[in-house]
Amino acid sequence: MKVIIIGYGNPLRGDDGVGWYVAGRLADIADEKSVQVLACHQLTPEMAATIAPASLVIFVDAECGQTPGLIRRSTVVPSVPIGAKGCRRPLGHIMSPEQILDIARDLFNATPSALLTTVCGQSFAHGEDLTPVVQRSCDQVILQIRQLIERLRSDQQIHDDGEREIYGYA
Amino acid sequence: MPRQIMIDPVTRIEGHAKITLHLSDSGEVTDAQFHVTQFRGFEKFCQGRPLTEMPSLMARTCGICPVSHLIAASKACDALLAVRIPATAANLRRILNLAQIMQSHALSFFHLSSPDLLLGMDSDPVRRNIFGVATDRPELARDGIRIRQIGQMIIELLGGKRIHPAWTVPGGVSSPLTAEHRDTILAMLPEATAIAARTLRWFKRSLENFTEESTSFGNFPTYFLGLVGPGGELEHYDGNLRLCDAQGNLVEEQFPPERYQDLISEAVEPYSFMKFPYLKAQGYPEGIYRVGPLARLNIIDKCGTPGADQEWAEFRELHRGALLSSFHFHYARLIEMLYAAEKMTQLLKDPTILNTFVRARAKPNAEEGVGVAEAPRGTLIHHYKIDKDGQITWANLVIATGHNNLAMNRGVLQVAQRFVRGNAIEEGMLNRVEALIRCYDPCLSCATHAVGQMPLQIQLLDPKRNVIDQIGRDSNGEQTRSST
Repeated sequence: MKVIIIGYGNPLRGDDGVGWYVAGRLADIADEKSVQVLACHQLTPEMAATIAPASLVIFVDAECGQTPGLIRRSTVVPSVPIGAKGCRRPLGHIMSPEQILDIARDLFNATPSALLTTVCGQSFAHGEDLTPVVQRSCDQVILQIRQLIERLRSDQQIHDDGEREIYGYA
Repeated sequence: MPRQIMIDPVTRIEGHAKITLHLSDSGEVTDAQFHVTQFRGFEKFCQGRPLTEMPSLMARTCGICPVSHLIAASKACDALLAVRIPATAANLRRILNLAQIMQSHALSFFHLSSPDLLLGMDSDPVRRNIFGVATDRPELARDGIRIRQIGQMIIELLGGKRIHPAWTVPGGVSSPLTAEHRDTILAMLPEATAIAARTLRWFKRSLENFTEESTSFGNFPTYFLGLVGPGGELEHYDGNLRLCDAQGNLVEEQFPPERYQDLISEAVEPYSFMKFPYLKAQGYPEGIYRVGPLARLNIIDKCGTPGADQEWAEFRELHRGALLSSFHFHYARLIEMLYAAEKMTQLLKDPTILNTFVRARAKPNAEEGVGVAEAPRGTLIHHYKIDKDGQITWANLVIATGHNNLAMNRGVLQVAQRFVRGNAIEEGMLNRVEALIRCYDPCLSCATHAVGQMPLQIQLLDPKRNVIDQIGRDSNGEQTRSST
């Protein structure tokens, strides 16, 4: 089993840096093959290839409009296949976790389990620091992810599956 | 009654913008405006920061093309230090820039524009996106993902981080390239070269399906501007500016980029946060010019790598003089992808790329510095002034997308006049207007120094500019319409 943790957002916009903060403090649990931790500004299409070999992907992002510091977790599932419904969301350079999963499924026949953890921000003004209430919630998220990884490791569920060959076409 | 159409938000580009089309009584398009509706102001909030912070700070201007800002900022800081950086450092920066160009062009072509080209401008908008491409041509979609991934991996191997690498610093780069990383990169480049070459073959076969678009998508005379090497070859990192007219005649040759203010000036219009650069000698708005892949391939004498040179020769056969249609930005982008893969291979095979002297160190030695590089979308200029303590007192960024602002506006008008009939508006008409903008692959995060995603709206106005009809898309991509 391979786990990939992806924290994303803009670390220059206060609490939008939730994903970077969490990923940065989880860097020590990453190893060569079985646990990968990434921090990025935004989700982009090639991440579908990155997550394709994984069994579990944990996305970490900030949200707004709720109580500051509120932690929410949800399961992310790909949308119905394009042939049946299509995609109505306007597409730009950035993508949602669902769209990354859609591409992983459509192009690489990969369907990793995925979780989205969000922490509601309080301030998105310019600055590199999280507000105290958000930082406390992030520390809680970090602890929970650590515990999850430790549990998977102790159950020997995390191991290196080896690199899956996903570009073996002419 | 004369009316106005507004396309808001414009989709499949980076940033927020809208388009307004003015219609006559009979429904003919009489005028068009491309509005950039976001504002950020990096030039202001970098004031007071030490110059050493500028590369990493400026890289945050954009999550799409941070490397370009990193490089232009580093070059401006090199000028403030008044140092000539080690040749190996310059080549490492050059490779970083080419990797950025390759992955950025891949996103533009495969992810944002190939749905129009593969599925058709009038195809169902629900499927006219990367997911539709994945269904109809999965191998093309996988190629797009893969070549972009290779570009990102090269950036990561060189810079340590994909989005905001801090490896490029004033005076050079912070660490030399290891043999292991060089070999890893070299092992990936043949695949990138092959993807670029086969995509070019597919695109050239598809061109005949788009003869109407290629003749009416921003097809008008302008000047073309970009950097060239000392022999007139394609150059993205260094070199001097060359300006050509629409016939391909040299107007300025080996123009020192630090004197850009003698060449161009910037106008502002009340309807957009994006500035309107123009050529000073020709005035505003007659001094319209284009930058980016099409401009670069129009001004050069050669690319400088074998595959790209062959493709470039074929490309130039499409038209005598400069190739004027903005539709051919796509074609030029693909040739540059091939060039980037080939050029990186050349540079990495030179043993001096592993030299360990990669940084010149100095204190500030000049009050003012200009750094110019070719970003994926065109010429990028960073210009800083510092005080005696090395803190920034003034900054000016002239962004690739901004250079093309006048041309995008004129192109929108041309496409709208050709395809939009105000009495019977259809989605495919509006998509062509958007597709013209996509040819330029505008990065409005950079152009206004703001971040976002670009959705599109079309609005009808009466002669007094009252909105009487509006078509847009909601957050789910559903078309919305409101009339008064």
